[in-house]
Amino acid sequence: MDGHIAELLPLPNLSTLVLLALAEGDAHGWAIIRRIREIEGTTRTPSSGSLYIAMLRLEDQGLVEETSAPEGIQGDDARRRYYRLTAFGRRVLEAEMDRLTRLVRRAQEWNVVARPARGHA
Amino acid sequence: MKAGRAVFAATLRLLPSAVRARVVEEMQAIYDARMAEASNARARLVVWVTEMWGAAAALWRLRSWRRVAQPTRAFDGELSDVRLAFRGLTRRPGASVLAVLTVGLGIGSASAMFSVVDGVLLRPLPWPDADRVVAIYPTIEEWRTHPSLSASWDRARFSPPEFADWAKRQMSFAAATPLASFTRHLTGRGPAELVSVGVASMDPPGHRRSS
Repeated sequence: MDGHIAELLPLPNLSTLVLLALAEGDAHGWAIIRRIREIEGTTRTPSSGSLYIAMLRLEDQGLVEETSAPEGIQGDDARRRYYRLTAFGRRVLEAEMDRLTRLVRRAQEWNVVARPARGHA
Repeated sequence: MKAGRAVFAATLRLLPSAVRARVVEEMQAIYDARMAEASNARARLVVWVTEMWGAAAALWRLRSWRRVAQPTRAFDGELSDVRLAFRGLTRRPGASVLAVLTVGLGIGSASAMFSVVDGVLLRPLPWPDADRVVAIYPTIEEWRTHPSLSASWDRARFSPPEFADWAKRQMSFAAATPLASFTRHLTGRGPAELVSVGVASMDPPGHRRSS
């Protein structure tokens, strides 16, 4: 399975953001977009078309799956589809984050980016 | 912006059916949520352009989603391309009949055209040295400027005595035979009919030169 994970890396940027957004909890498309906006710290957001190109691929790769609406928000827009991160999706996300972390460390070693202050490390 | 939403919804309807059921409603929900968030007309226009661009990208990227997503189901195992094609044909019989008729008509007209080209241009005439046979017409210089006869000034006809004289004097050909073709009305039993008539002499004496 680990070999299979390696085949999926590196993830496209939007796919990484979607998996990261779903790591916070199950969400529908619009909520995923708002979380991505929050993660990126920008008002520029992916269109619904771009999001679903990524979502369909992630779903068919088994990284995310459709789920029922969480308790208490059944009265929400009936058109909503909720998604959650699968166990395999979480491992792929961890592997991608590990890859990115190693990249950042290497960048710090070469002084491309500032090293974090000791107090925060 | 109702028209804008209608255009967006219509665009989504063009997505392949395997994808449509999974994404269209949610995409419209996202569109509505972003529009509700937009504070003024300019922001709504930006949302519309962004969403339309995204929808177009989805159309392009997902156009063959079934094939990309389920390669093993479509092309592996016992389901051959031929069987897959046959299933496609039976699923839409009207379109299939139309396609078969179109292809049939195309093949028919192409082979008819080839028969003509083959008979007229490619295949030699059924006698020896067919490429040495020529047709000869007299020319009538005065007809060149004639209002109604100018088209046939270099394709005039021999009268029988003219031909006999020419055939006796010509030195260039091994043999010459007069030919004529015209149309005539054929009457008798039943209604009259217009028929094409061809006339040729049977190797008249004096027209053959020794070669």
